[in-house]
Amino acid sequence: MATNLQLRVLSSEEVGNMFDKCLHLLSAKGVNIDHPEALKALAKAGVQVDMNNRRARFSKNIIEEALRTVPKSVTLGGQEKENDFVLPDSKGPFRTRTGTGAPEWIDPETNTFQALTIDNVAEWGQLGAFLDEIDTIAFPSPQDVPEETADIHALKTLFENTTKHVITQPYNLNAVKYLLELAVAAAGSKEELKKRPVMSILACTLPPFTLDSLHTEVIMRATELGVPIFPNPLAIAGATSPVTPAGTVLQSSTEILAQLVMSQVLQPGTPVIAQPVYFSLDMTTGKTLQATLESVMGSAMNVQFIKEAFHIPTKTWGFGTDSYTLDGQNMLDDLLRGLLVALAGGDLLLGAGNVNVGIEASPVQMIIDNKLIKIYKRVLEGIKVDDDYLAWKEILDTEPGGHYLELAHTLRHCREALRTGLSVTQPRDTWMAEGSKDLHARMREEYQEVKKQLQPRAISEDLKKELNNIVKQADKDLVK
Amino acid sequence: MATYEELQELVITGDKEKVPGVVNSMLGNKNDPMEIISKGLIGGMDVVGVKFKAGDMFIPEVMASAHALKAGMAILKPLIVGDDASTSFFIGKYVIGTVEGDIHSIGKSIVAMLLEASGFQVIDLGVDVSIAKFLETIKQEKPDVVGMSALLTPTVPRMRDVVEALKEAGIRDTVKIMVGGAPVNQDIADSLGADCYAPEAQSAVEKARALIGK
Repeated sequence: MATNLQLRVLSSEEVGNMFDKCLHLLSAKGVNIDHPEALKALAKAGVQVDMNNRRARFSKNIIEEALRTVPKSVTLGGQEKENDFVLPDSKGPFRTRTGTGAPEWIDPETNTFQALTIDNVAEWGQLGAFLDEIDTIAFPSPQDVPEETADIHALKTLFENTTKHVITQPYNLNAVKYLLELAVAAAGSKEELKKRPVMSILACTLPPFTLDSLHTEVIMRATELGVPIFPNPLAIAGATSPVTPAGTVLQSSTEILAQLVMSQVLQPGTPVIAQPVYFSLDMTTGKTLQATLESVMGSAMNVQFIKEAFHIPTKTWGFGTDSYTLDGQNMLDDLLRGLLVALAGGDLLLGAGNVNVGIEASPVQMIIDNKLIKIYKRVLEGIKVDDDYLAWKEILDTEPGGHYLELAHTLRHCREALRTGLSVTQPRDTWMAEGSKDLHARMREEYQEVKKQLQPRAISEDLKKELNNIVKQADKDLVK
Repeated sequence: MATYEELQELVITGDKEKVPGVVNSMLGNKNDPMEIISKGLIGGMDVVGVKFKAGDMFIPEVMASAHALKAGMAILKPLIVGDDASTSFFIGKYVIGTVEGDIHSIGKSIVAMLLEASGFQVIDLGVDVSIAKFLETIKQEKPDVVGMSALLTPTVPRMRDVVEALKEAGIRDTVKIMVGGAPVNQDIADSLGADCYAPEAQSAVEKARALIGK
């Protein structure tokens, strides 16, 4: 059968060569870690640490042991148990996540950019819960709450408005403690959170080769609770990583390995899902881009490398555009990226609904991306080839000049072709009579229908009170 | 003997290895150092500026040109004496930093490098720069423009704090404020009290020059 299509960018030899270089870089060069407590803990565990220069170097033995203890599969729990899943996913080719961190909202009515609000966060969570191909939700950045506790307000709002797993990207060092408290409350207890994590958390790097205080704090505290971690290098090719895709992939993979090893040294068995993302510097304007062809191919390469060298699940952008609005460029960027990283074996594709390098969040785009996911999954399924699907009997029996329309074979299979609603199928006259609406106009209308069906999650008064209390305490402690 | 056009070409192509030889041979030929600077080195960078704005030269190429110019200036600057010694080779002074609480530097660093290449004297305060440090530097250096960068949304309000600090110190009108970074846009820049918003490095240079009328 022509199924399970795959994209391999690297040969096995190239994977091996790059892996050896990762080991060399971590042992000879190491990484800077801007967190004295973490450095002391690593030193105690046998890692070579230079406290004066904040440099940690990891021996080959320590790296290999970490790659042995790191779980090869990870459970992510939904706010409702029916939405739990395991990565790598045995039930389908990949799972998905919304975009995160956008401070702007593209208003579907006016198609203008507005400062994102906490109500938008609630809608984001509800929309992600409603859409059938969205598996995890991450919060955008509300601008109408105290900036010191924006992450905390946003996470609480997601727990109140979504039934699926929540992935947190913290932007504020002081917020980490409260974000994890919210996760414990949402799970029910620390033990439940460890057994069935309803939240996982990103730990970004500061390329090249620096783990900053915020994200090292994330690793320190998340490993204590057994919360899954996403090591997430934020390389900008040509600026903070090599301009060549292979060089960026090598550096990012090394940084991911450093964070993976740190997590295992601190707490063997901590679940880790690698999250390489690939920005590029535009060499004429200096703008950071996320949708160049090199970025997309580099992401596919990185996914393949991590899977074959580290044997852990991977997560990367499956969506994302440099366009400022919902347009053809947006569709081009999303489709090219989603297809290539899905074919490369990405386990969790992130970014649904984000526009303009993640600065803008668009609920209409999330609806579009939900449909694009169906296309990617169908491509990965391939095409069935057997006597029934070859229509062998039907071809033999049909005479020259005949047709297939009334055959039982056609009746049996006529609904199998994918219909996402993204494409027009009516004649042009009909299309014109209905208002000559392009894809985005039709999707904005679909959004209006979907919006009527959105609702918050029904949670207990006790949980509501507990979440509110954590946020109130955070506001009291952190807001100036 | 090399011509000024040939020296310009070396700057344009970023050939810092050959520039010193050409400059020394011009000096040996009794060419005036100020003329070598203005007609050769800065003449070349002016072409670079035009090509960069048109998208025909890339950022790393502009930086290579800047290094070629510096290689020539290293020989010529010590030779400038008398009235010419007070001449500033800089078109303006620019203080730049990433605001307090934010340690992201690459965008700010690219802007700093391009400003230097375009003729500004740049004082780069680095990252996580406190309001007090901005204020102290502005008082001391009296720059034409101060640029503030942020990548983290929660740190953008620090830009407003710097503007307010300048007002309280009575020196807000002595300097132009430029802001930039991924979470910033024109509306936010206006609300912060900034004079100018630069969405990316290329426009930062153009707008800085416009702010000082050059």
